[in-house]
Amino acid sequence: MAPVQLVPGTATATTSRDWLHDVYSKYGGSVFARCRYLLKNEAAAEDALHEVFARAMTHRQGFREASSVLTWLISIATNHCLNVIRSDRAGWKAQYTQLQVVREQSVNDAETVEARDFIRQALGQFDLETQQCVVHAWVDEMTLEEIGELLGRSVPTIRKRLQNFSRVTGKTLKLIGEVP
Amino acid sequence: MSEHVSELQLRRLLASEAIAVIASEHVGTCTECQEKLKALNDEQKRFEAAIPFEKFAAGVETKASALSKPKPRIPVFALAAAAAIVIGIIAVNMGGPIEPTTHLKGANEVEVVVAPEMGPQRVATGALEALQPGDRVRVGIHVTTQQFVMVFSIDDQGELSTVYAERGASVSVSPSGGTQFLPDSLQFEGAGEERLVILLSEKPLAEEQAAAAVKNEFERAGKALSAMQSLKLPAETVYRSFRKP
Repeated sequence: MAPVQLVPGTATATTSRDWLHDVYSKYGGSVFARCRYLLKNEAAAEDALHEVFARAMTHRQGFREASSVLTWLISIATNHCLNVIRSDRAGWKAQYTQLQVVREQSVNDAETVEARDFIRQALGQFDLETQQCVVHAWVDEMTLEEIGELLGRSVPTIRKRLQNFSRVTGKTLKLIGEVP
Repeated sequence: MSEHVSELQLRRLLASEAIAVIASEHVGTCTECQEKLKALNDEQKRFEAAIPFEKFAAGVETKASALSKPKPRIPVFALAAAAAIVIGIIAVNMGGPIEPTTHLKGANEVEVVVAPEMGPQRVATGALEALQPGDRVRVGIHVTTQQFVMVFSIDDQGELSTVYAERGASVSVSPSGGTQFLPDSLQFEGAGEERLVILLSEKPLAEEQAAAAVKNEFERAGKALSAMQSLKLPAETVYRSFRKP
């Protein structure tokens, strides 16, 4: 048996209904929207939603000190969902077949929805970091600087990832949006 | 302001988070952004209708309970989102003065804390730290320039475990203005002594090479954890020693 193991959270993490209610009211819809967008499955999205807030609850220190709690939660949700997809690669196909089942209740126009659908379907061709860059850039509309800070990478690195996505997919930047 | 406010900024505004004044002023005068803001508000309402709070809370608490159970093995994971996960640590160079925080080149610092099941956290110094059952250890790093960190754990039998690495290399840590705690916490198993080896470098290290350096130093020290010194690597070495309960 390994002599050391990582356990999530801190020993002092506790459940708080008040805390949960606050984040539910402020951020629940946004996090759930991200999970639905990436997973394209209501049940999987709800499961991911619970996972994201459970992790947030056990890492409250980071929660309190984050400059934007929403950005922090969206980052956790994005990373978690991308890992879920990667851990079940076969699931991609199944998820796409459910596009008709889980329709976007989008806050965006048809053109934006179409571009984001394309982005999601193309993500499977890329590594996790590129996936994160693409989602944060063209779905969250974050700047290169914001993405760089979030992922701990330089701006040129982020730009390179986005340009590579555009090059590999063969889509013009005009279709999916200029590299910010 | 010529461009519209990004969706993320609008979501932050809806959640009563502070955004740039110029962006806020733009929303106040832009019909398109106001409509999108209303759509986001409607999205939150649909969410609350689809997943009532009690159902949400029960699901989160179930997941949180599962997360608190020890994992069967050491996961090696990315630090992609670690920029937002801030922790505090203390680390000390063995052989050097005993102090709670190890100050490194370039004003970088390493700190290790022990979190008991009950009661306040304590800072691990360079002395042998006696752990109690349930104690967890967390590693925090404060950097002023982008650095790379890799963490190993080695016991008095020479068994080496990689604790923090990413795809066979160090993980990147960017300056955040404060101490960043690495995700999750450590719990040691078994008896005897254990030593954390924290390597901070300007360029990423290869896990295989770094692991070999730790093992070589253990052998050179006569298999005595306390006699281990800085590794022959382009990295600063910080040690913390623990006696397992």
